[in-house]
Amino acid sequence: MKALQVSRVTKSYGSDPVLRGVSLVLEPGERAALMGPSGSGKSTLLNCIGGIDRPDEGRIEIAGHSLAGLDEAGLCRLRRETVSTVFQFFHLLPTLSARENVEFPMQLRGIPGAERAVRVQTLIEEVGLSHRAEAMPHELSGGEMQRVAIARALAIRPGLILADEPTGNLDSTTGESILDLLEAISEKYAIAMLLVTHSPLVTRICGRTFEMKDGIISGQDAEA
Amino acid sequence: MKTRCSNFTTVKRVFAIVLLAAMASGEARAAEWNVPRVGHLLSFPRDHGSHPDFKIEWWYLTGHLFAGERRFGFQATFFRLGQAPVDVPAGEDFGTEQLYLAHMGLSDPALGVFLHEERLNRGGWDAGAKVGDLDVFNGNWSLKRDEAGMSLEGTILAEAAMSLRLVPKKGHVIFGEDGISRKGPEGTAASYYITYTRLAAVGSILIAGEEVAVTGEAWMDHEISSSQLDRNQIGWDWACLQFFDGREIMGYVLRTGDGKASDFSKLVWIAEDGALTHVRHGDYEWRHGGSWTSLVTGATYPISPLIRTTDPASGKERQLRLVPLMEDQEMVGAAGGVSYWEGACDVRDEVTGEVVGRAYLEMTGYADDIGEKLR
Amino acid sequence: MSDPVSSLPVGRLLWSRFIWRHWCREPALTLMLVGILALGVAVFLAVRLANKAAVTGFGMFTESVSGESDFLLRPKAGLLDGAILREVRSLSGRAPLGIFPVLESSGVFADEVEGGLLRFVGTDLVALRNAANFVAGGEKGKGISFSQEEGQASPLGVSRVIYAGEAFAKAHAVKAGDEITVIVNDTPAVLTLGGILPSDPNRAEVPENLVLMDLPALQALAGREDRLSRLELRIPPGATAERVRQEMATRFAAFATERGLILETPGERKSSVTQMSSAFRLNLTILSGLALLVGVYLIMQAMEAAVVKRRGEIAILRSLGVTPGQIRRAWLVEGFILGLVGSVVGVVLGRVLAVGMVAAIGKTVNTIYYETTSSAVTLESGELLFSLVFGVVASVLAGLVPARDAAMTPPAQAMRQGTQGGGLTLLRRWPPGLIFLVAGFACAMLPPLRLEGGTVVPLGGYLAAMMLVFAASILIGVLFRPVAALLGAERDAAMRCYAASQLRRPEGRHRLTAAGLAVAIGMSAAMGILVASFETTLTSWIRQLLKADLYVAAAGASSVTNENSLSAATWQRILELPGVAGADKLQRYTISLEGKDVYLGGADYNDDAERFLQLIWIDPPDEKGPRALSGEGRTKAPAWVSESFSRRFGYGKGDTLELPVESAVQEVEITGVYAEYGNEAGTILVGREFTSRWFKDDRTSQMAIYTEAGADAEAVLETISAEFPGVMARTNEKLRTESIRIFHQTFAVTYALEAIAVIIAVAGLGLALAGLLLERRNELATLRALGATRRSIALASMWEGIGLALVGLAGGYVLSFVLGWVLIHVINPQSFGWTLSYRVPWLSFAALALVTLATAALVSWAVGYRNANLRSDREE
Repeated sequence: MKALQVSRVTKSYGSDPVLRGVSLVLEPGERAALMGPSGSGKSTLLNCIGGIDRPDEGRIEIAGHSLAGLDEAGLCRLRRETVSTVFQFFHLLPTLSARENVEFPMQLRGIPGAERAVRVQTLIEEVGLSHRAEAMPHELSGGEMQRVAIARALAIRPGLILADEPTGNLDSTTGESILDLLEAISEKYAIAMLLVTHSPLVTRICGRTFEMKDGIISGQDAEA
Repeated sequence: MKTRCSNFTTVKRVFAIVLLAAMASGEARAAEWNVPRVGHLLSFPRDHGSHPDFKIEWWYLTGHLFAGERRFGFQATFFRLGQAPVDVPAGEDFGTEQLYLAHMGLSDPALGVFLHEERLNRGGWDAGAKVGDLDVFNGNWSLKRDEAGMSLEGTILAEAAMSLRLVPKKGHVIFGEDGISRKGPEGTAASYYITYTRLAAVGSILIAGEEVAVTGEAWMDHEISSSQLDRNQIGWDWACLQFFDGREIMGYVLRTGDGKASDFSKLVWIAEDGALTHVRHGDYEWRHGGSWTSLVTGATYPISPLIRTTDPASGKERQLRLVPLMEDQEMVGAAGGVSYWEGACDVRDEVTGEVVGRAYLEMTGYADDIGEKLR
Repeated sequence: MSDPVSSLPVGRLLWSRFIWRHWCREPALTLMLVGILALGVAVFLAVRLANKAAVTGFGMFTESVSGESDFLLRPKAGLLDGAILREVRSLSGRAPLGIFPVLESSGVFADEVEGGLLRFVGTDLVALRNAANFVAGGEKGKGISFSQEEGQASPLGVSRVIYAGEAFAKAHAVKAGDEITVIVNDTPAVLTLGGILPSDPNRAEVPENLVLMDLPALQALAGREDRLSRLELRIPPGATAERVRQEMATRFAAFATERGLILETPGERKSSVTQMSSAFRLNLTILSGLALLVGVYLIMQAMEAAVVKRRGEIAILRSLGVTPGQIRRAWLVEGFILGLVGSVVGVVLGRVLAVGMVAAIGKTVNTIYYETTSSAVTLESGELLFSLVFGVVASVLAGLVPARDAAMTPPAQAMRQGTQGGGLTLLRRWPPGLIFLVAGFACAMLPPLRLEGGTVVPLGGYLAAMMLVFAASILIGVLFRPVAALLGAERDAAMRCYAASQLRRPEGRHRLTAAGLAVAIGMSAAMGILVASFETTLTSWIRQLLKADLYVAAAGASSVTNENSLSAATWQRILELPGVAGADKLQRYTISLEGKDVYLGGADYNDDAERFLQLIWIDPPDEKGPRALSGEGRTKAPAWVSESFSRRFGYGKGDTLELPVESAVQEVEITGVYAEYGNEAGTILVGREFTSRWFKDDRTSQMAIYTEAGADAEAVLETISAEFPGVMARTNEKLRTESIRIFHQTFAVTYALEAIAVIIAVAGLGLALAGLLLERRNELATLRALGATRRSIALASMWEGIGLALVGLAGGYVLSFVLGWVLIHVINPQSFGWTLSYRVPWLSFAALALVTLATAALVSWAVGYRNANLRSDREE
């Protein structure tokens, strides 16, 4: 079973084709970078994979489940249980401490308190933030916030993490350490990752790089 | 309940003041009130009626009623209180010369219930007493004499009602020497004291929503005076005893401020034929016994006294214990401001332990100084 | 993807981790929300309580002197003869029945002839003591000892002693034993305050103007010897009480029918009193409705602002897999809890407010109807609960729109696309607005609802008003473009153009704000139109009516409930004074017709073809001269009835009325219908010769005096005042001024409530702008990047606020014209039977507009200044 399988996906906004037959496959634990200039269709592809947008044609399967058959509730469940997203602007919940941010998705899933406590502790240690666990988001530096966001993404033990410019808002040193972290957890938990980025640095941790241009991935044929 | 009553309680509290002022004001007219005179001959039925020229008058009925196994005690009292003259009199509907106070009480010892009601009205459309013959009323209560006897109509709230025919078994007696009953050394502290010592009672009682036919015996006092008590007297213990042998005792002790009995205290034996035997103070003993404290007024009453006197028939000493049928028979006076204990008792021979008659016991001046109001 | 998560723990999670923490993080905002809600609920409750108090204030002593009577026995008109007491006693037979005779009369303080009216209640004070027997568990303690002063007369006779409550003693600075000079009818009398009736903490205070007297004393004082207003019948408690009550009810019902009397329970009496003040209650209904509607808009706005503020957070929650339904429920829960807290605070606040308001309302009500005491506000758990539930339901309803908006937030991934906002689509479509408009006008055409007992409810009118308010809130959208064009006309003013651009594409929030303001302004202004129309009509009516030179009445005659009258000796002597040419005389009675109280006037007009009281006719009689009511050559007495009477009872010209007067029924024929705004109960005018015969009464309540040509009215007035101290005389001009003063007093409270509504609406505007700026923080960042200073952003915000206020004002005034029309032509005639001419108070409208604009400008500038430096969410 593939972690992610995108087959000949097309998407247009009005008469303007954004995706023109994109296909890609990620094996469990595989990391791939998705690069390309602004307007190349990266974000639209990411939205289609995350269930925010629906493709006009083609098929997206995550861990063997097709997104096409999911209603809004199904998509919610998908986000709650299978796919996590890491954002450029971290998007931590401002009213929750670092620990609570990590705990929150588990609470949503209804994981019992005792188990939650153990897992949160493990994750916080894993991202190297044991000493900052009780801090509120506005007390954290950018790198620390992204570590919390990564820990939160890991909380549901996803099969796939979508990362949207994860280092885009960080200085290069911090960015490097975040990439190291992503690589480490991907290896450890066999989580597939699709990293959307402008930065060639990111490709360092990726086995493959998909170059996108004008709605297609280089080397693939346009559908329409 | 509290909110319902409060509208009038505000008004009511003030009128307690007004009323007592009205009752006390009789004093201003003391010189003008008629007083009982030695040797005055009473004439009947005229003197069963009202005597508005005297300051204080009452018609006082007590009795014992029976309905099979059930037994009741009752009291029905109509007071007339003469008032001081006013500057501007009102019409006859709202008379200014007399106030009429009335008490109605019913004891049901089986249920332990003592019901009572007090009311006060101006002489006028809703209360009055006829001159010339017995005919008094206060609201829907009335006592009226006719050729054959008397009719009493009374109610207690909407809880109880009584309707009785009262027929004398013995003629009336007049207590006191030379026709007047003295209550103190001052000449004015005296009364005309007319009593039916034994009346047959027949009629019905309505209690707890149930109408009960009753028969029994009653006692009726009619006292006319302008000053019932002497200055230093604070109250009295009074009792009427009706023996099964057809004789009666009327006795009282007038209590003075220093805790002693006044020399004017008295005890009278009434023989079957109505002959009176007067026993002077000192020749009989009234010993307090028993004790009951009222939760309402806080007064403590000696409710089971022992009377020691010589039986004029046998010449032997008798020890007569009054045994109340129930403890709480206190008539709480709100309008009149006078509270007293008035209750049905059995008479027990203390020596033999045998019940020899029935009595009504009255104790005044325990809750407050009654003298202030009745002098 | 199995194991679907139940929403309950998620809901609890959202509450404890988000809603609660937001409140804690921003206590000021939370407090404000709670405060707004509390204010809305408070005003609502206060108005209801005050309204109730005004009604019960009177009811209390009408109800019963003796406590809570079981029955009242009263005549349909006039008084009872004292002989009825013995009859009633004998009719009740052996039954335990308390019979408490009562006489009511009125008077005034000698040194405050134009001040408030004193209500005298006379009952047998000795027998009143027995009332203790009529209360289950009544207090039967010992009496209070009291020693009478030597030489003082017994209080049993006809005394000059009165008793009054603490409020009376306080208001007039008197204590027990003091002497007070009052005027009863036209005669001064010196009375002694015998004692203060203590107030009972469980019960309303004795009304300030109530004076208690012994019955025979009052009968003598009022010249009503052997006469009674009513009998209060009470049955003591006990096992047979219910049986007795039923028996007495049957017996006395038959007696009442036979004698043409009214037998009623105090509750029934209360309801007929209640009806009298319906004009006043209508005002209050409209006003409390206004405060509420605006309050609901405000809650909606505040919650909407919170949605915007937390939009990013909601998006993250969505990206983490929280469903829209869960988000919606969380917001509804938030609305519910806010509503609950706000309502509880509001109920407490409203209770406090009510006491103050009763004082204001009491003043109004006093003037026209009767008297109240401010402490007559009783804590009614029913009212409190109603307001509480109402507050909560309103805030949950108001939270529906923001909750829907919140639920429509996309997950964070999509936020970058700039698709945020777009939540509020409500109010954006105009067809429903048109439908409401048409429905509104259709409802206005509906006939009024006639309830059992003759109460008329202008239901169609109320519905119409509601529909029109909805229509206005929707249709107001069309005003944004013109207002934007107006603001943006000057191309050089950058910030103003920017503000105009915002209004050109109004968001849901803009529409909501403007609608809220429009509703507040519209309803306030409609009230203004009603008041102005009322005033214009009344003024011209008074001008027409008041043609005589002097007006003379027994002291205290400015109140309808006054029972003081001039004795025959007095009015005849006045007529003989030098300079007096003649007079119109009127004696007024209250009679009960078909179970409703109306006024019956005995009129005797000045016998002069020109100079006599000329009425304004709705349906004129064939003969209108001064002797037209004398009934010469007629079999039935001719009668003129007021318009309100005609509408209330459905009688018109040519109909025959059967009037119950004291001991008999008198037939009169209606020959004309005239306009009268003095009372809403209705008046029947007949010749005074009839009333004096029917009521054995040759007094007169008021006289309109015409002076002889060349005579000085002032001089005549001085003579009258000097000779008759108990008579109140006024010149034509003074009476006019006083009438207008009374009128303004009537509406005093309405002004205050309007102010509250507009203040709430402007506060809402500030709140809405704060929300808009928050939503636009990225844009603000851009503006700053482009060189806009904090002040210029504040300026832009101010212009936007002014634009919103303009839209709200314009819409509000249009709404007010329409609502005013409904009030004057539909609701008013249906509920009181008064025809009013429509008038718009332009000047006060302009003032209201200016004040609103200025306040809006100030508030929105401040909001702009405060929020100008908001960080963009790109800058975190």
